[in-house]
Amino acid sequence: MIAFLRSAFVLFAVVLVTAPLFAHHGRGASYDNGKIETIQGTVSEWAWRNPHCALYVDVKGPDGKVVNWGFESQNVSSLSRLGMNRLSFQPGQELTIKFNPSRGGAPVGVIRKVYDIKGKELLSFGGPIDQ
Amino acid sequence: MSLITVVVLGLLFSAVAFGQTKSRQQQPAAGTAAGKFDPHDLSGFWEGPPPGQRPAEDARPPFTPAGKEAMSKRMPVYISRSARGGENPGCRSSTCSNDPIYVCNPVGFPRHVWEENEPIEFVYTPGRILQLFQWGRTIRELWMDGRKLPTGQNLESLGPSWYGISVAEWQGDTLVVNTTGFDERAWPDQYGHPLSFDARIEERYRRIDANTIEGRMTIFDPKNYTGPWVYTVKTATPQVRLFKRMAPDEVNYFGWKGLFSGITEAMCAPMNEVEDFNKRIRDRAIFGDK
Repeated sequence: MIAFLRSAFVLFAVVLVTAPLFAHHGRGASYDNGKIETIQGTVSEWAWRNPHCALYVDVKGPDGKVVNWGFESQNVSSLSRLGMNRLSFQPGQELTIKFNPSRGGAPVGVIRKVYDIKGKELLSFGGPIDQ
Repeated sequence: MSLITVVVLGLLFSAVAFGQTKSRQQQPAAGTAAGKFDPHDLSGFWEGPPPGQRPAEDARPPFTPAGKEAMSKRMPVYISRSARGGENPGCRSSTCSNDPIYVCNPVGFPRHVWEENEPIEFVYTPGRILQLFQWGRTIRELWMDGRKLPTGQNLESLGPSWYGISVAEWQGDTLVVNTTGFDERAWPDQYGHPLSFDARIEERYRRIDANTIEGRMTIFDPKNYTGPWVYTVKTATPQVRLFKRMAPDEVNYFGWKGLFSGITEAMCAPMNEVEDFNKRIRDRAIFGDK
């Protein structure tokens, strides 16, 4: 229940404060919003800038090959209101990310939730995840 | 479900409902003592309706041959419903569109005011009213000192600009703004309609209560259109755009009040948007890695 309320509050807060900013960056054609995938990796870069902040993560596949994934989040103003800042993620930090995958099949996505190595939720956007 | 759960959920959804209409409700209603307002005072922070309320193309008068030719060169992401299946197929992506805003060119007028829902501040100075826009840290000057809208050689000497040249005057309680001198490369809307250099756009702003400015806009561009084009959207008041006063906490960022308080710097910088975000994230999301 607490997790639900927290997610709902975050959704409410983001809806409240983000509407006026960067309205021209709709995501509908770019990502499959009905699908959520999970990945684990190591932060290579936290790009704290508009139009949308982006988290880059090195992910090691079953064959041992490392692929750099890029995940977009919200704009600086919205994330600031959620308590985030330019130091929220550090290179070398291990994370688990739940995301909407891209429609084009490239290793990019939209962040829905981010957890640290102990399972603590660090960022949430878009309400509760049911899958 | 426990009683506590029901109460908490009730409070939560009440809060959400309140939040959605907060900026509309926080200010006192017109007609009350506290809701009195000066109809000639448009100062303060305002924002237009949500992005879904974009001008409907159905109201557009037919193109002239020149207008049709100009439109054929535009490749918009958005194709209006009435134009679907026509000669211009559009392009459904920012990467193949030639909409100038996707590579950080200025949004321009009238698009910045009449299509986007970015926050606007009206500022009064002697002889001018300024419109400040959060997006792009942009400014527009509405000259109130009695000068006339430039025409002919005077207009040619001044030349085109992304936001044009604007003069304004009060007609009763309505602020009437006329603008001309447009850069023909700017798109007046997301559909890529043409707008000629010496077209004239008339805006009429009227404050209808303490929290609302009613706006009307008409495009006069005989080079591209066979008649005046009245701003029209598919709403209950189709020829009116309502600008709502922003609540105090919507323009207060960690104690810094205003549109340009650091983190609200809503600029389209090519280094960020084109070279970084689009190439590394968004283009790959649409087209994949090739």
